[in-house]
Amino acid sequence: MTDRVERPTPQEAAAALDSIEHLTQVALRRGLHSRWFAASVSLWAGAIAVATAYDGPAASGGIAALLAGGVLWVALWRRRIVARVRNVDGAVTAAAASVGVLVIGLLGARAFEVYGLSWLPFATGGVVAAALFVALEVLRRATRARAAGCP
Amino acid sequence: MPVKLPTLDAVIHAPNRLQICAVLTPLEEAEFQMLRETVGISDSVLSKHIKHLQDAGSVKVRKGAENGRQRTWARLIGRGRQAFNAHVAALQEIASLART
Repeated sequence: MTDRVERPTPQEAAAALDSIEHLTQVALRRGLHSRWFAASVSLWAGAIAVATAYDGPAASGGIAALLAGGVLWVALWRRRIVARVRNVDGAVTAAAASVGVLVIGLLGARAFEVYGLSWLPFATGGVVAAALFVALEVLRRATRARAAGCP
Repeated sequence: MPVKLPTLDAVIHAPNRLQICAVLTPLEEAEFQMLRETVGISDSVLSKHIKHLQDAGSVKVRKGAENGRQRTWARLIGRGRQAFNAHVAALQEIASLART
């Protein structure tokens, strides 16, 4: 293997830059979560929020089952990861999302307790699912946009 | 007046190595299998190029068993990232000659 550099023509350089841009985008697609993943996680979090809002912390059985199912699913999903995107702190994002789901769920539970409106737990779950989906989409798009500027 | 031509990085200039760096640049790390599929080269060719990049201090390789499966990950490290950015800047400069 020789390391002698043959200077490319401007057309060859432009083609190489196009190839770099294409491969960068492909790598990001492989590394970032999909929209389906965002939707699934959001629905799962919404279900936990509905359970929490119905019974508060007392709904431990249902919440534990949902959490166990979720953890198992995430573990299976992690086995399929083949690339990790730079500057995305998954652990911090997951911790912030968990706290957010719990706080909104408990607020929903309190509101349900005070007002007794049957739709409140579902509205709480809807808010959690929508907020999480939007947050995951923003994170995905922001990461892609930032990476589009690199190198 | 003579035009001063930009310097290209000899290690990164090879098409497959340039492609490997392009895949690695937005990533923290990538698994060998993903790199092989994305760049479209065989295991042996990928290993040869990764070794070359490793020797140049551009890439680091990590091996580990995850979920009972042996996996190999590659990452572009600081020096490699700088070299790649400089190489891309040089290519941009050369490409811009076509427009002037």
